[in-house]
Amino acid sequence: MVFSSLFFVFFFLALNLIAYHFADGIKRKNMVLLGFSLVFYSWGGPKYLLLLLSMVFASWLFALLIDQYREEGLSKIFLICDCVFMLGLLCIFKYLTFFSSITNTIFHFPKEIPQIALPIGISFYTFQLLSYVIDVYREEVAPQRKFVNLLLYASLFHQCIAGPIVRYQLVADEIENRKVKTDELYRGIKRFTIGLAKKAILANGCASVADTLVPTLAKDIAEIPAAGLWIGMLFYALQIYLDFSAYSDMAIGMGLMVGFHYDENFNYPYISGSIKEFWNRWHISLGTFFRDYVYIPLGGNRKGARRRTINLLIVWGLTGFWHGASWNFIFWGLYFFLFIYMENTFLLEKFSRLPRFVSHLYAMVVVYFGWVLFRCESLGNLGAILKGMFGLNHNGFIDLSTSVLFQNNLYLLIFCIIASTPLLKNIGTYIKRLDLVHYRIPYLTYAYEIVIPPVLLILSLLALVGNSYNPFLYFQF
Amino acid sequence: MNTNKKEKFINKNNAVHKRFWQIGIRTFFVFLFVIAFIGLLLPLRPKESELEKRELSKFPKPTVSTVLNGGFFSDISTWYADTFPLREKLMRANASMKKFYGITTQEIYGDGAQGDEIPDADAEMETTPTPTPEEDIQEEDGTIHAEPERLGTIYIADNRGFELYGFSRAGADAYINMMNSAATQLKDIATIYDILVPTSIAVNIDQENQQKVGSNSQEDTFAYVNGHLDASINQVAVLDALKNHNSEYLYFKTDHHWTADGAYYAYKELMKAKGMTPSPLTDYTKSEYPGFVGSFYQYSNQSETLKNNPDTVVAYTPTCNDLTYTNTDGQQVSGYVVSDATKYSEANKYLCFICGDQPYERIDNPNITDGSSCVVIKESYGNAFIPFLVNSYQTVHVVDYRYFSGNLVDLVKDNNIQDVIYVNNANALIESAVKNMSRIIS
Repeated sequence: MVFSSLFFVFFFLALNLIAYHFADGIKRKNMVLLGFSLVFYSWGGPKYLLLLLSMVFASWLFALLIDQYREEGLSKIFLICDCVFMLGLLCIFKYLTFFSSITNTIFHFPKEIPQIALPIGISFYTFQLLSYVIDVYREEVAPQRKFVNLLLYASLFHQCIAGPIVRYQLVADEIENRKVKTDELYRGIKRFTIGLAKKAILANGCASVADTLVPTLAKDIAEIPAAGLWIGMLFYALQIYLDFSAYSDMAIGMGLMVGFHYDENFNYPYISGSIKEFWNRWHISLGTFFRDYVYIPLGGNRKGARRRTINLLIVWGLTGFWHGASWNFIFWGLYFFLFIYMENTFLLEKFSRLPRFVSHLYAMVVVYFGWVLFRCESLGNLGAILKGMFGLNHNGFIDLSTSVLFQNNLYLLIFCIIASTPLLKNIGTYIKRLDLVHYRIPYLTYAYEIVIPPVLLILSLLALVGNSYNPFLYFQF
Repeated sequence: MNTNKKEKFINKNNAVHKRFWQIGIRTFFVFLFVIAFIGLLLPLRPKESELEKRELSKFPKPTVSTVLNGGFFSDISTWYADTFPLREKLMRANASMKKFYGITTQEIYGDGAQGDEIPDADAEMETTPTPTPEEDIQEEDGTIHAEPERLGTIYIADNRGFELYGFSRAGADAYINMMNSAATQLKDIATIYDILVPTSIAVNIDQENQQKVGSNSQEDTFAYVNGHLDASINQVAVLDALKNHNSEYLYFKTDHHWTADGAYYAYKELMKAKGMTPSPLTDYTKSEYPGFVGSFYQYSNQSETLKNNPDTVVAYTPTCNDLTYTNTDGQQVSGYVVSDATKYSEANKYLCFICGDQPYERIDNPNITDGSSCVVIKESYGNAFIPFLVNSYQTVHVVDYRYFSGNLVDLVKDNNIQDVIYVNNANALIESAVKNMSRIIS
């Protein structure tokens, strides 16, 4: 089930909120959340529920064992067992097909490449559970004694299948002890509707342009004129940000509606002045995961410049690979490694002497071509796009259908670019402040706050009705 | 005012804020739950979409495998969205939002796939023979091999829609083979007339601009086909006649069909080819059905431009207005050559002609007693054309080759039909359509 579907918003979520409201006490409320989450997860095929349950069970058990046998010095062994088990399952379900195709090419083994469908959300909940067990091992958090509570944490439909990767530490107390405050409930509602509209109207709008201008087959790509590919990739870059950040908005919003506080996952990445900054603003929960559980344990920057470079290389290779079992994602990660390495050694210093827009332009160009790499799972497509962008497919700069499509979506493009910056938010805050300062009861602000969530809800309803075009990009991870 | 003072001010008003937050929360929940409730009202759920001309998805039936692989559940989500109450109204409202997406003086919908290169009129046909249709069609089961009409790329300019034309070499060659085979089979039995009807883009947009938008030349296409047809087939050229009058209302702005006025020029050309005098328009009773918003509107996902420029269907009723048709269930039904479309929905007004697409129709005009008869083999373009023939033939048989399950040659022989008239628009020169034309003569 995707958040941006009518069934989710007007059936599942509505029912969930009613049931949650009428459930008495935190235990029943948690049961409601857990029940709905398990149904939500089963929606994509109930068989993978077993996988989720066994991974939660293993994490629950190993965390308790780690805690129990700490004095005996056995906790490290249990930690290793847990990591092997969890990463083993992740490898089997996410990467086995990829690895087998490599060994098949080189060693002709196995003869038949196993075809395994990726269980929904496995990349996200595996990381959540790993962070939990490692944090228990590090004594940063007490182990959860109740299996159902841990299951609720890992399967909670707000974040189970597309992030953010919520650390157990962050919500440990809130599982059994949380309160919904009026202002937070309102903020949750507003945040959810903003996310919904962002996805249903903006991201889907960008997606339809991007898919027309950057088709999936290399032979179709070769027929698109140069400007078409540039414009198409621009829409794709906006789509991928709006899509993914919308998902996080909705997760954070739904969390607030029931008293959970998840961390921000995006902080306007497209205003970054460097690749380092971009990754501090993009999918923050993934970046911090790799920082805290890979980079720092490997020694981070404490073991000399060479070791630091190697650590960065590992982290970026893994970050890329996490995004999908395909070479292009690994290259995508390494591509960022290259720029971060250069930034660390000399680029940032150079840029510090230049105006901000130069470094911003640099960062955006790098990110833009990063998305080209990200979009092409085959080398043929990558070649076709890059050649086409520089006019080497010999079909001119622009044709009528490209220019018509561009004109038809010009305001959408401008709005999406603005929506990727804090501009609207800042204007809103400024007006609100002004209103509050000048009037004892700022009716303008209130009217806005009351009207905006239902308006966004209805606009999203319109956009979603009969809209079969509705894929969430981050589902493949 | 300094920041401290501001903060104080804000805090003082916190109780007031809270009250308004509560109003905000309640308002939202009222909207959410009211819509959710409407979503539960099963009788309100539409079963088919008139706009998209399709049946909407049904509530899925669970099977062990679909439940296990999640297919059943995803089908529920699809059903819920696909049949949402007031769906079409909501879709329309959404379409009117689209004008805020950008400048919409021109629009293009569809994949813009390119057609084949059109060979010269005297070029050799491809040596690989097109597979004979008998091989892949089972004759006995009476299955109807109908392909619904599907539109390609729609180009909207000057407040009207056009369909881009893509030439199909295989389709054109199959059409030539089919026509020549029909000519052989009907030799000494009936006279064949072939009317290839251009679509609006070839009539209303000049060659250079057609090329610019990526549309192939229909003139070249027709020249290629005509260059290979058997000499016994009478080619009725209508493209030039239509082009000469292209300032008139010959094609709909919001639909891929021609108007009756466009079809009348084809009728005149046919009569010229037969050496007969066409019945003047004054011999027909004119009726008008305004508010027609046709297929381009649906296909463009409801372009506002088209919605704001609706068409008027003009129909000419001949001296006899009764017909009988055999529907897809094989039942005989009586109807009208031109029906009153006043109450038809805005998307369906073209159905006023000869009761829409029926497998077989027959019109006997009691005012003519010369024993003349013809059969028209057509797709939906033929519908606007047929009423004119009623004033010139005692009996008009109509065969929609997509749905007709009988044999054309037998029909001609059994009814002593003299004229066999093929009416096809340029987009029918594709393999899937020609396959059906071949089926009814084999």
